[in-house]
Amino acid sequence: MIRMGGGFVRSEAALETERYGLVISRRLQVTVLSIAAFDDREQLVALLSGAMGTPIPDPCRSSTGRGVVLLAYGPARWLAVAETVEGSERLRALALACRPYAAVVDQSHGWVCSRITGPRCRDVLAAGSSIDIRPTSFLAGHCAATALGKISVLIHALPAQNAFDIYVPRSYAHDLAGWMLRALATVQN
Amino acid sequence: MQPLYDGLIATSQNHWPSLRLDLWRANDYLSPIFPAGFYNKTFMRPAGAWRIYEKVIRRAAGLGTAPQESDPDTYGHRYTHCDVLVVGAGPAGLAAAVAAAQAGVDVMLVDEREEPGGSLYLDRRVINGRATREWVAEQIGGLSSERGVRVMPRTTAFGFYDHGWVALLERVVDRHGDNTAQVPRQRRWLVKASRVVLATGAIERPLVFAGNDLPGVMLASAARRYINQYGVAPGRRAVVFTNNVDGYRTVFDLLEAGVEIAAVVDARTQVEASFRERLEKEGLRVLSRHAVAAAAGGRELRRVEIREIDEDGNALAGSKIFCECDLLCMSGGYSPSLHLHSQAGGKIEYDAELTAFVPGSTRQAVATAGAAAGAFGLAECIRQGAASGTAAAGERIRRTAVDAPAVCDDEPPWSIRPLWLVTGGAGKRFVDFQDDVTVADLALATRENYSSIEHVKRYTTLGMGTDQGKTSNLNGLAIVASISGRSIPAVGTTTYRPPYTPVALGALAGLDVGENLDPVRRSPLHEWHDRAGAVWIQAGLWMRPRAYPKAGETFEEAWRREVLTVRRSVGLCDVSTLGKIDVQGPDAEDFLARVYCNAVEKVAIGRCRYGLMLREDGVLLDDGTVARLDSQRFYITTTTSNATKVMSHLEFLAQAVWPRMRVQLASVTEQFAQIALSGPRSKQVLSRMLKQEFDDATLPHLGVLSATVLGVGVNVFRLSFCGELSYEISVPADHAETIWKQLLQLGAEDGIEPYGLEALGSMRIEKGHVAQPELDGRCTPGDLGLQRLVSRQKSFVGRWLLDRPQMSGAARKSLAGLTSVDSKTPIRSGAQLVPDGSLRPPLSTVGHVTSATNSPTLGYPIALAMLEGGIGQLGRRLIAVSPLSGEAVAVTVVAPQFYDPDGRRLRA
Repeated sequence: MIRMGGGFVRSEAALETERYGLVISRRLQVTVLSIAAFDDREQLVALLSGAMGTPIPDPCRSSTGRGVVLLAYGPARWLAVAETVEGSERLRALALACRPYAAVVDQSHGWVCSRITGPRCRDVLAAGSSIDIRPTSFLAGHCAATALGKISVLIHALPAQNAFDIYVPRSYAHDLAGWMLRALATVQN
Repeated sequence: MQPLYDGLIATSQNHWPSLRLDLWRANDYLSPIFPAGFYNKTFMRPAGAWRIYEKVIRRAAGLGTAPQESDPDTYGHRYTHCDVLVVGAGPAGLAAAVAAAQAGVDVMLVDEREEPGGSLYLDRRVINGRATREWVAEQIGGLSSERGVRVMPRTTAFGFYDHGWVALLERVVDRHGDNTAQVPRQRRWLVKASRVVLATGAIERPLVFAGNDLPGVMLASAARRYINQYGVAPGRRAVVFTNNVDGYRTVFDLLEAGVEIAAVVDARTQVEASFRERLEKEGLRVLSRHAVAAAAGGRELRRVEIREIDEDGNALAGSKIFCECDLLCMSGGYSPSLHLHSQAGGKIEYDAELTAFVPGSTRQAVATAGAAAGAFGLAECIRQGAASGTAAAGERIRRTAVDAPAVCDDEPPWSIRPLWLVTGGAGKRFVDFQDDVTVADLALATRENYSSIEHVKRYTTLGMGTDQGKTSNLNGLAIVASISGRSIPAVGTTTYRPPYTPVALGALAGLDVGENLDPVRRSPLHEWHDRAGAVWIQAGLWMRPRAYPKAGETFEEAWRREVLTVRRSVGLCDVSTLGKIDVQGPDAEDFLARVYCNAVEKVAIGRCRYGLMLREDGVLLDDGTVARLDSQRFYITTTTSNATKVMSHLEFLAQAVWPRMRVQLASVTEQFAQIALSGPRSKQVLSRMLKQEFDDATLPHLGVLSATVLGVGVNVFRLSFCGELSYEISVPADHAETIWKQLLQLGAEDGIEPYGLEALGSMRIEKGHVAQPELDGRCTPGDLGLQRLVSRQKSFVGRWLLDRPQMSGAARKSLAGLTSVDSKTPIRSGAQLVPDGSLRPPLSTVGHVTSATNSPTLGYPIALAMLEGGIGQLGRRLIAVSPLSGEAVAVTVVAPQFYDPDGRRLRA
């Protein structure tokens, strides 16, 4: 295993796939909370926005602030992801503050985040997801709850070109990695 | 279409023993007894012999041989989106793509052939002063320079679905089983296009006359493709038979290629003067108002019989002209390819002037251009294509300057005389060349009162070959119209269904084949189980340990040992696969009160309850537990198999049925591993782990305890599925293995062992607990002996339909226990229960075995069953019959609780 920046590790096998235009790295040490508003959405949005110092994203968009990434994956539903230790602490404090307005559930152990990069990664995503993944449509900061093959995932487009974080339910993570490698073989010409 | 390549083995079919000596030709003479639907009439007796007949008939029909091996190729799937999808890269499609690309939108241009150009390669035409091949290259070059344009030859659009989704099949490589290139053989695309332009062209129709299937008889456009695209002369001496202006292109191209023209036969009365003059210069005369009545020959065409025809197209007697030839080119007009238009929900209309169906109104964002829209002139095709491309680009036009209209070489206006059938000649007149449907077959179907064209199709197999009637359908329905005295529009067409051309099943399956058919879910303890040598079983999508055999131990010995370990001491089981849902909110209690049929809402903080959930129709949906973590927060569990179904059910209720309730649901199945610690020594092991003694007051039966173990927060639920004192420990998934190992270590002095699904299943049967085999979507709480749990004090999902008379009563099957009479013979799950007595069929069943085990605890076979009368039948002898395995076991009905019926052990 090779440790990369940003809390990601890459296996030797993953490096091999780089030849074919895709690198899969497993993310470590992130805190993930799901936040779903009960009814008073405005209060909740104000709270989240204040804590993060950025506007709350529209559905299928994300925002980043103070070490926390907020992914709006459904109506009044967000996945809050801490990228740093400080962000995790801030997130847990935020969770307590949100309690009157939202169901806040720790999903840090439930979601596995894989980062995929490389010139073929959009092709691999397009092999399994029906969303419009074109660079002109799915821009940095966009996110979408969709399926890759038969596996439900949350895709987040990162600022770097051809880089995505893929959040997948833990039990499917092993299978999804295999699926991506098989899909990689089918997108070659 | 399968392109040829080195190493391809291609053989002819529909002959025996060889093509040269084909004994199947006897069928030509026996055809009077093989008319349409003959196998429904002729091969009726003896009834059992049909299987033999069918094999012979299928072989004679030339349906090919299905491969016995698995497909060696790989196939890919791909989704994509675009602004404009153009299907067909002929003149109209190219013009549409260029126009849309010039407007600055994302364009996909797909074409089924090897290279773009479509019908342009058929003919020697001139566009804007250049040969068509140059014009095509120029258009493709222009498209290549535009951003956001994808040109995909070798790609067939085979289906048009709702919401603008179009299915494509891309042929990446032609060779079967060659994976050296590390690319898929084919790729299936699903394209979501904002607008679609269909430039799918038109297909030439054959003419229907006697002997029209002889080798050497071909479509006029096919002859042109041989000459102009492949440089092959298709014959030496040719007759061209046409009913339209287009046939003359073939005449002139044959002349250019040095093929002798024996005759030009035109069904029309008026022949274009320019054609007549040009032919006269060649010393040829056009036989206008004539038709080929018959073609004759053996293995190849030798001559044709030409006759003058009357106003109705009937051959006149006494006007025979015989003409020697080895090639007959026929052109019966063109049928626009309406398949995708129709699949998209578009209407079709009959155009009598074109003698063809053309596209009508649409209900999707789709336009048709060129020959597919009935425009058979080249300049008009290009004009329509460009207009459609511009229109499809909509308001995103980047450049207003569009190319000037294309100037093409002169062509006379379209002209055709309807000629659906030529009478007079002797021999079979084929309508469907692929399925060997003749005019006589259609006449027979009409005589036998098949009036709907859909019924005629199925009775005669007209259009049921792999080409789905592309060349035959219009001829066929026109002939049916003529025979039945109806108009062509009144007869109508059959339904255009995907796929447009055959698609390999592998291309539809993509990556979802073999062991990758479905995803596999792994528990957080998967690696530990694997290292421990677990025998795996797939439970839904989950991989679960079935047992942990030790060295030298059989699987049977392993799980029986595991059962006895739990019954005597303590065992550990991974139950992480249970569905787990976090339910939160001010209305969470009210929500759960409406969802469960028993009073789970009354559960106190720090306690849990068994819960039953019904469907709207009163049938049991699932069972599980409900734990209250605080006043507004619950942690509920579901069965493994119903976890997804229950989550969807609850989300639907929360979002659609009671949207104003302030409650939110989150699946935490993945967040928490769950470990069952079971057995009479489990309390001691748990005490060691929690580093505290506790009693029933601290953690009573159905109690919940939160604790910290090795720095990890866990919840302990005192629940039992196996019938022993038992605790289920909920652990954040990353820490599951740490806690699991800790329990194994702390329980070592008590002989703790892991146990798998087989032991768990056996113990729950001994205890009489129901699981998925009993919760089969047909039973009510009363059927399972749980009626006492159903609240009469509240309303809940399924309550009112549960009160239907049919949902209760002695006639319903309800839960009962079974033991084998000899206490030795195993009882098989799924066996049908029949009254004791003769086993001679027919037998009426009174129930079925749902779950069975050879109980390690009791030492004899036991089973649970759903039985008419249920435990009201105690002591009755029945026979458990398994027709598939041929087993019959005498059983006795007993109570379904075989072990610790009072529940003393789990409360110990």
